[in-house]
Amino acid sequence: MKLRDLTASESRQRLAGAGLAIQTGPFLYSVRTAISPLASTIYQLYADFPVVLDPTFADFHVSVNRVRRWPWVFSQAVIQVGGHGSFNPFPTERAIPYFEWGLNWCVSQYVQHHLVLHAATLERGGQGILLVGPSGAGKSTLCAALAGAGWRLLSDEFALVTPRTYELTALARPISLKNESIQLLRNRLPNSTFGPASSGEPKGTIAHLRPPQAAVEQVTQTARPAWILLLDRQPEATSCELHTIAQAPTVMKLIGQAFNYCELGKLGFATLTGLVELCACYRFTYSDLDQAVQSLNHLAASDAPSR
Amino acid sequence: MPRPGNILLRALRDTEVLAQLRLADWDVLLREARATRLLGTLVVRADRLGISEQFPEQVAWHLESARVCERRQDQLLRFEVTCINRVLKKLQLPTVLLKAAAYRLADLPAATGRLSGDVDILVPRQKLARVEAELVAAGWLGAEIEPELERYFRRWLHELPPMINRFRGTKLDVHHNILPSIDRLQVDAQTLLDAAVEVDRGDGICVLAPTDMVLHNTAHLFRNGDYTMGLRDLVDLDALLRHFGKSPSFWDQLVDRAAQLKLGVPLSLGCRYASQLLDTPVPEATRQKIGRLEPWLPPVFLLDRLIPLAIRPPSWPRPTRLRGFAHWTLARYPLCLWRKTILPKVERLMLPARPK
Repeated sequence: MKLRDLTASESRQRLAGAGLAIQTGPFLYSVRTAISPLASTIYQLYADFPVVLDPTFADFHVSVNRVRRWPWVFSQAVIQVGGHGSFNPFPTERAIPYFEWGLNWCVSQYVQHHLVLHAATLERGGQGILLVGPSGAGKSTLCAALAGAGWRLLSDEFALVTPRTYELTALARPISLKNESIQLLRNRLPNSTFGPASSGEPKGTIAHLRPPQAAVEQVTQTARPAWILLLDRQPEATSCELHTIAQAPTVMKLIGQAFNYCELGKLGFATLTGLVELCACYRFTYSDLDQAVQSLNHLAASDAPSR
Repeated sequence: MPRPGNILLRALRDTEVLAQLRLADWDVLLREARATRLLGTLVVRADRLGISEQFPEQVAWHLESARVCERRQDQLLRFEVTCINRVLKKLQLPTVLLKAAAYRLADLPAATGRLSGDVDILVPRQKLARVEAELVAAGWLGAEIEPELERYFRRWLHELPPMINRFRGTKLDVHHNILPSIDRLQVDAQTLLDAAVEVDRGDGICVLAPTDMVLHNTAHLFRNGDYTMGLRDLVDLDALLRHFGKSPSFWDQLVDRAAQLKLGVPLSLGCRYASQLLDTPVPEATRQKIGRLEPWLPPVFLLDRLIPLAIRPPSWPRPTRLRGFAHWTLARYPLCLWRKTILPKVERLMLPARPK
């Protein structure tokens, strides 16, 4: 059963009551919220996702609800993750990005059976690409553009690498877009659905793009990693450049982007180096999304990764 | 709807229970075991019994993740202790470990699966300033806390404000005693240090003597008024008593030491709730001897209701008011309002400000 099979009000009632369990890839989240703008955004963004009514077991339990905190004139909400205390409250109108942040937090905190990297991941022809880079380098923007151009979205936030097999696991959750990229992608993907934009600290305006239906339907298919792209933030870049780089510096970069490299110990090292050995590694800068997508389509079509 | 903590307590009393849990029970148990930081303990115990294979497949990766964290904790803690030991060696002081680090380094069953990266050490009060200076020089900086709180730590508590290693982000608590200076009960920390035993490594790393380790655990649990991690402390106590209790002379030594240090009250409470909630075996004779140590006991009929409420995991999705009430009340029990909040304020008004 998919979320869209419920009516909006049924979904809202469940979210406000016993909770609604949403399956995103391997993880089943039991979600509760009585904040109706958040409930309608969840209904909008997760429409294609499988839901479980009255689940006996959920991997994570997340609730977002209003709290009364001084000064009472500002409506504040707080996110709670079952099994963990609570986080700092935030203005209720920021509920959507905080909710998405909470779902991500569960993965970064509790998932230790994969090597978890901070990267956008997509797949084309069974082969996976990892987009790695600092915040603001355009990972999510490029990820959204590729997802709209025939690549299958795995995740815009995580690369979940299975030790020993190196497969990439998909989550297909909504893509979080910031500031100027929201309008850019709205123009680019006029038929896609965007959640409402919400502005404020710490990251400026954030809006979420609903993942393509095909990506959600094929979420159980893993991908074989083939390319790693290190994105640089280069505001003055005028062209689209793709340079081959060596494996060792790529490993060093990825260690800095891993959530649980240290936790996994030797297995973390083996998984990370194994992953990089499977991939062709590039440094990538772009200024124009069309060029970037074209260049990566070309890469996927021509470049048989070195094995 | 079962009461919060019921399944968790059953599993802590008897690990075999885990093999019979249904998926719906695991849903509750995972949440509660994480909230009380006991998931690692349960997983390691289950692995030792070899029953983890029988668990539902949905929980397998959750348990594997807990195992990963547990292994990492072990490695981190041992490394951290080595670093601290190096600093204290300069002062010709032994590193006397308390709590989690002590259980780990002494390879006690209480260390099983315990998730805590913080290290606690005990140093002589007269050396405190030098220890602090050396630690700061070696990169352990005081955590950024409000000046008021820092003053409270230094004047009224038994430890320095938490120190964070600036390179590794690890936390270190430097104690000079096991009870806050504000407490009515007072212990001569030197007797504890004198009785400390070196763990089998030959590099000056020590832990408290078995009796003192138990007494410290009970003092920590029942005298500092904070029960948020109470269940984990009680599980530690259970593991310590089961382990040391195998030696028949231990129980009499424990009672004698409690009498000497005047820690009969926390010990009697510790034994009471460990056996009540976790079925810890405490010999009847010992119970009676502990009972005779103290002319009067705290209001046990009240504590019997409050403590099980306070230490059980928070209910989901809404916290129960009862648990909050129990926490609120118990926070005021041993160090009554007067000692905890009013006395420091009065003192601050009476005394001239200390020169910086």
